[in-house]
Parts: sequence; C-alpha cells; structure tokens
Amino acid sequence: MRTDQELNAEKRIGIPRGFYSYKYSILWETFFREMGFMVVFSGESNRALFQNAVNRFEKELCLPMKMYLAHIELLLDKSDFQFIPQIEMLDDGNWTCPKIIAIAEMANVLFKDRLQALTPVVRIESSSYTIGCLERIAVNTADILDVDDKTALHALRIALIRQHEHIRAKTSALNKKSPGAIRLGVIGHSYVIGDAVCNFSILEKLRHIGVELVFPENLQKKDLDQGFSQMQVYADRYWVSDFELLGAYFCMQGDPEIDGIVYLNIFGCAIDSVLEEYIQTSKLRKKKPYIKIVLDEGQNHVSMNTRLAAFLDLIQMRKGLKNLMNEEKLFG
Amino acid sequence: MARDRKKVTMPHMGSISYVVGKFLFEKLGFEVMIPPPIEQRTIREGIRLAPEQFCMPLKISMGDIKRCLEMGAEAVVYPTEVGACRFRRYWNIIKLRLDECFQKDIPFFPLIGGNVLQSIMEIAKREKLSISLKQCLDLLRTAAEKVDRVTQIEELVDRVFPRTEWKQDLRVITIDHRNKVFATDSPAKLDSLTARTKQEIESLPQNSHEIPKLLMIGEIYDLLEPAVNHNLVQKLGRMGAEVKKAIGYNHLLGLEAYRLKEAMAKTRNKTEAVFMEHFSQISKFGGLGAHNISFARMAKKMGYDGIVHVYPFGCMPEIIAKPFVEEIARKDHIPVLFVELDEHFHEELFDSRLEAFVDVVYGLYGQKMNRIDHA
Repeated sequence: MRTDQELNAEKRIGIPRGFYSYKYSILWETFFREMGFMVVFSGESNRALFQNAVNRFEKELCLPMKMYLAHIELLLDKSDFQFIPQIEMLDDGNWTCPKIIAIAEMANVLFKDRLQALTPVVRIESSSYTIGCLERIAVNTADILDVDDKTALHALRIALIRQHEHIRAKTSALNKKSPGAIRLGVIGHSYVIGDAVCNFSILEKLRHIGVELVFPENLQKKDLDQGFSQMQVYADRYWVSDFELLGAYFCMQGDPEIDGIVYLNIFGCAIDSVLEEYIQTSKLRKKKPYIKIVLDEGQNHVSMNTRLAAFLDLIQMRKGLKNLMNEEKLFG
Repeated sequence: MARDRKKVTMPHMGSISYVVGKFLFEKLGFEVMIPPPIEQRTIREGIRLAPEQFCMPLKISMGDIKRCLEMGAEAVVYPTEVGACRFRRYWNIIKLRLDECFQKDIPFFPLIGGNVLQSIMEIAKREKLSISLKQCLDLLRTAAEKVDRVTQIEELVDRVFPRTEWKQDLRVITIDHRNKVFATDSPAKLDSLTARTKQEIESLPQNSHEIPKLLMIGEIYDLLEPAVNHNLVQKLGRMGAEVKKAIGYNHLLGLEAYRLKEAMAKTRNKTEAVFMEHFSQISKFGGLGAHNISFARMAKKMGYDGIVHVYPFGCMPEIIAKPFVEEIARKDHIPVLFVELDEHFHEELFDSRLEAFVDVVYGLYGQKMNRIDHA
C-alpha cells in the first residue's frame, strides 16, 4: 500500500458514502490509491446531513438515496472527481435497483457543472465475465485520469485481493455464541445496515444492551445458496438482494443459535416490499420471532424503542428467562 | 370446441383486454371472462387484499382478478416484463395472495412483454393445446393489427373530443368500433371498418378554434386506463386542451414487432435516437421511465404546449424520471403537471389543480380569450 506522501494531491477522488460503497469501499479505495490518487470519503452520516437530505431532494425518493445525494453534495468542494458507478447488474446478471442505476445521471441533473463524476457502467451479465468486465472498467477509468493501463490493471489486482480478504474476514468473524446471550439475525440492504442514520441507530442500541447481531455479510455464500433454495415459490433470481436477503432469512431460520430475526425495511423501496411479501407468505414464517421495521424520515425513536423492547421481551420469555428489563435498558 | 373449456380472466387496461386478450385466448380454446368495468368496489377489494406498499396498478388489477375468480374463472392471464422494475414479480405476488384467499392453487399464465410468442407457446404446452408456431404467429399478427386500429380511433377521438359538443356520441362510436374490431379478422376489412369510423367521427360538427396541445407521459397503466386516472384526458378536453398519449397499448406487450411494418420501427427508432443524444447508453432503470424522459425532451420540438406526467404512488422508475422531466421543463419553458395517483382521491381538488394548469397553459398560449369551457 502506498503512503500518503506518495499520492497525487491534485486529483482527489471522492467516494460518497452510500449504496454499494458500504460493500465495496475497500475495493474502490485501494484501486485509486494504488494508481496514486488521494481518496476522500464523505465520512459517516450525521444529523445535519440527514436534515439537508430530507429538505433538499425530491420527496418521494427513498431515504438511502437522499442520503447518498447529500453525501455527494458534501464532497463537491472537497474532491476533484467523484466516483459514482452505475451498477446495473452484478453476479449472474441480477439487477440491482432502478435508483442505483440512475443515481449518477440524477446527480448530474441536480449538481450540473459543479460535479465531475466518474460513472462507469457495471453490467456483469455472467459471473464468468466478472474479471474481464472489471478490467475494462479499470482501463476506461484510468484513461479519464491519464493513467496507463498497466498501472490500472495492477491496481485492480491488488484491490481485488484486499476486497477478498475483507469479505473473508467478515464471514469468519462469527464467533461462538456466549451462553445466555441473545443473538439476533438482522437482514436488510448493506447500505441500511452500514448507515446509522438510515437505520436510526437500532443496531447500535441493540449492541449496547448486549445483543449479538448477525448480518447477511457474515454468512458463507454456500449457506446463502442453501437458504435461497428453501424458498419454494419462486426459484428464479432477479435482484441482487433476492439472494442476499431471502437467502440470509431462510439460512437464519435454520440456524439454532439465532433467536429472532429483524428486517430493516425501507419505506418506498420496491425490492423490500416484494421480499417482505415472500417472507410473510412463506411456510417457515412462524418458526422464529420476526419483526419488520419500516424506516423513513418520520421515524420516532421512542416508539421504536418500545417495539424493540417488546420484541426482546418476547424472545426472553420464549427462552424461559425472567429478567425482562429491556425497556429500561433501551431508554436508559 | 364445445367440451369443457377453461375459463380464463385478465385484468383491465384500457381496451387491450377486450381486443387482444379476449381474441387471443378464445382462439387458443379458452373461455374468456372480462372483469366488470373498474368501479369503487373493485378498488376497495384490491386494496383490502393487496400488500400495502405496492403501487396502484397491482391493487386494482388484483381487485379485477378477485371479482372474476368469485364469478367462476379458473385461470389468470397476467402481463409481465423483463427489467429492473418490480412489475415482473407482480403476477407472483398476486398469485401468493389469491392462493391464500381462495385456498387453492390458481394457475397463472404470465405473458412476457416483447416475447409473447414464447409465452403463448408455453401456455399451449402446459394446457396441451394443439397449436403450431405458425398459427400462433398469425394470431399475434392479427392481434397487433387490431390493437393498431383501436389505437388509431382512440387517438382520433382524443383529438376531436375538445373540439366538438357531441361528446356522448364519440363514446358510443368508440365502443361500437371496438366491438366490431373484435369480430373482424382480416386486415382489409379492418382497414375499411376503421376508415368508415374515422369518417363518422370527422363528420361530427366541430368548432375551428385553435387549442393548446398537451403531451401525456407516465406509467403505462395509469396512462391508458381511464378509470384509474379519473378520466384525465376527457377532463382536460372539457377544459379546452387536447391531450395526446405518448405511449400506446403496443408498448406493454411489444406487439408492434409482429406487424412487421417499417412505419412502426421508424417511430421507435426516433425515440431511441433521442435517447442516445442524452444518455451515454440506453439506461434501463425499469418500466418506461427512460422513454418518458425522451418523450418530454421531444415535446417542445413536436409543438406541444404542456406536459402531463402521470404515475402511481411508489413507482420507482417514474419517481426517478420526475427530476429529469422537471429539469427539461425548466430548460424548454414548457409547463408540466405531475399527477400522482393512489387510492385516496378528491375530485374537487383534482379538478382545481387541472384547471390551474390549463390556465397556465392558456396564459402561455396567448389565447385565453378564446377559451371554451363546457364543464
């Protein structure tokens, strides 16, 4: 890895926090750093950014998209180029989401000349073309930044290795459950789990009172595969999140260590509304306590705490535990 | 075939269920049940049964199907497509809910947009119907011809409607023509029938005022089904504005491909050319969102005085298209009205919004004094 002194400070690459940057930030950061550019992140979401996002952008967009646009705006003066890929298809030709596909074009319309963006189209129609596709994107991006192909491909190779290590570290992070503790499975898009403002710090609160959490990224790919195959109604994969969320849901249903499942559902998200429907109608639905939390900008912390406390009480009662003090802990 | 024919049903979308659906599936050997016209009861039942976060088209078509299933239909035909929009999964969601509601496995026949031929062959295979590929292709060609004739007349009616006082007659003529088109198969006869209807419409007394023209873009179901958009076209017509729909029945199932005529290909290429001017590539963010942006872009050039953008609440492609359409309208100095439809509707508020919009259009048109108001 290059040190900060070696980097070119004249062309700063901005990576706004949002959507797939939560999943692939290691890949993107390493790629640009290895090519010799300084990388600027927009930092964690905060209350001020949230207010700006809610007031300023199109009302009907989903919360993560508004947050992403706010992050882009934050980076306008801090970076020379922003990296906003148009991710259409991933894995085996699975669609991402209309909003993620159109985000770069929308940012162009909103910020006009103020925004200089690198917007490669990621369209991986078959997993066997993944490397070829990424190499093409790397070369095209390098052309815009005046970097030769060889350096770009080398940078990509190192970045892919780093990303792979990162994924492996995530999947092996799952420890044995400590006795007496509650372990919850949390499903939701990576950008909802990663952004504390989008998920209204639910995960932070749960961790604070000693609940262990398992996310889709902690699960092995083969487990997700197996979980997804349990969904009888519709065998065809269509969105990327299909596999990730439904696979994780059914996998968690079969895991004896997990006591309950939380679904972080974004209001106005088409994909969430469909997946939620599959979960509701599935035959395995009643095996474990399950709570769906719909998140939007009008969310109330007090009512959320009450719901979470009731859910945790339910789990503890099922386990035969007596100390039902969740509400006090959450509010305290 | 007098033996037990399976009763199939399909949801409404303008005239397409009468013209294409009924024709195709009766020829295939089914008995077709068309749902009763969309009314309050349909909407109420749809809303009660459908999952809450879904858009209006799913809820209403669910109501349609449920009412027909109650009346004895055995299978359901539902259109679907390929793209990033959730429309592709709609038939599956409806099936899950209705299976639970009726406590049985209801067979669904999805018709894939742009690939109707293959879908019909699959249905034939599943139901063990004896139909060859050529027969099926011929059927689709006839269906495409029919859709084209119905579209021609409906477009003419939209044009004549604000200019004549014989508005009730227009409605009767349209329905009559639709029924005749359903009964006629040969293209030559269809041509003469359409020519006769056109003559009939044009012979109605019309005034010769110049009136502004509006382009209506948006989500296809809301655009084409008058019961869902609350007769938007006729309302605007009564206020003295002519409305042209940018998208026709053809876009849903891609039937124009079966007509094999150059003219159809040409109009499609024109939109795609506009696409390529403004997008680095044809960005498919689902539904007809990207198409609508290019239609909006063309509106000024094609001589329209305003844009009406219609979409259901929660429609992802159209919400993305909205900021683009806004930007285009600002650049081109063309007034635009966004109509967002869901199950909550207030007639008077809706009317006053339309009136205000028509006033703006007239103000820009510079002909406010000539305004005809039959409402």
